[in-house]
Amino acid sequence: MKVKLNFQGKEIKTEVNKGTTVKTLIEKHHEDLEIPQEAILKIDGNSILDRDIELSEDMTLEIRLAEVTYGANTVPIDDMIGARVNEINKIYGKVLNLPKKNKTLIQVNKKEVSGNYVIKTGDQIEFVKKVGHKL
Amino acid sequence: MKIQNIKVIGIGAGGTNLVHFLGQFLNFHVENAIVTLIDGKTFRTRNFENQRFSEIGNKAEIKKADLRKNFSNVRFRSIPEHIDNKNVIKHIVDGDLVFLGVDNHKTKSIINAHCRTLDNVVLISGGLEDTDGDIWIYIRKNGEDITPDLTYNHPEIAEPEDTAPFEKSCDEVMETEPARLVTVLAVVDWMMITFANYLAGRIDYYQVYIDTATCQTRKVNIPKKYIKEKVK
Repeated sequence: MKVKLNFQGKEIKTEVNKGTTVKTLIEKHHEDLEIPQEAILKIDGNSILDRDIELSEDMTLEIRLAEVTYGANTVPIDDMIGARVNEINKIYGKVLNLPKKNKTLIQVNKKEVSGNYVIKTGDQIEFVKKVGHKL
Repeated sequence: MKIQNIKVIGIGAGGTNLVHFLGQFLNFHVENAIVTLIDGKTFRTRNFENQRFSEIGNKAEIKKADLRKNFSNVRFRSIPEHIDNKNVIKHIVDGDLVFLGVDNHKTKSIINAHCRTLDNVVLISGGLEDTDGDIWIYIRKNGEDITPDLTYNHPEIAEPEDTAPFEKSCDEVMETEPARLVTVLAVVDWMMITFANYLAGRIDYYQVYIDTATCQTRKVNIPKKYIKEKVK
């Protein structure tokens, strides 16, 4: 059966046997695509923690090095590994609709960090959006 | 279907639209439902832009009369008051299901703090800023939190910097910018979806973020530590 693999802007269609797991697919492409072990894996937009999950026909597996969330929006930030969290706003502020002087709580993998935190592979960063004033 | 007494606090853009759909739902699916509308503000002509009402007057009183005409199987009551630290104890009691649609963090903070003292309560709160919206469901059952309360990761509710209507003069209370109607409707929609999910026992999230500009919605799942507590 065919499955798709998205990594750093490339879409690779690959043939796998029934029963192939996410882990097996990653191992198969570990060397040619240089996928780090810590990378974030997503199926249909949802992060998966269990790499033993079986692939199914036409499934798209997305691989991200890191990602950032603000409110309803989440974007991959593969190009920001090694940068500080404070720098995200300059590049992704518009896409995320982040306020210019962002003073929200910052979390990496659900733990609070400062703006000086250096982004690593596998980081899921969230600028925790304040709840709305009106209704 | 068995349901608690329902309180709707804040009968503005969100509240007037929410109670219409809530009334419609309860009228046909729930027997003997009692809905109490709470708001000390007055409808003004300018509110027609994003609010649903028939005439000028106190929001809770006017909307109660409107709803009674449309949904005869539901009992509607009104309390024409702003919620404050004293009357919250009287107006929100154990077993209530509360919809919260106010336009300030201070009132949210007062109501949230009171709900934390009750054994059984469900609080569904909505908020928005321009094109973004959010909803929150805080559930307490048998004296335990089933979902996080509104202060979890949100210091703006734990220590609000704004003021509530009961702290303002009448003129100040009037002066708020109207909320964008499409965002209001998106938030109201998710408050109703969350209400339906609660009734169906399908709550695995405590927060939903909505962005009407990017058409994105994201639910925030209940943290593991709450699920463990529930299982115990």
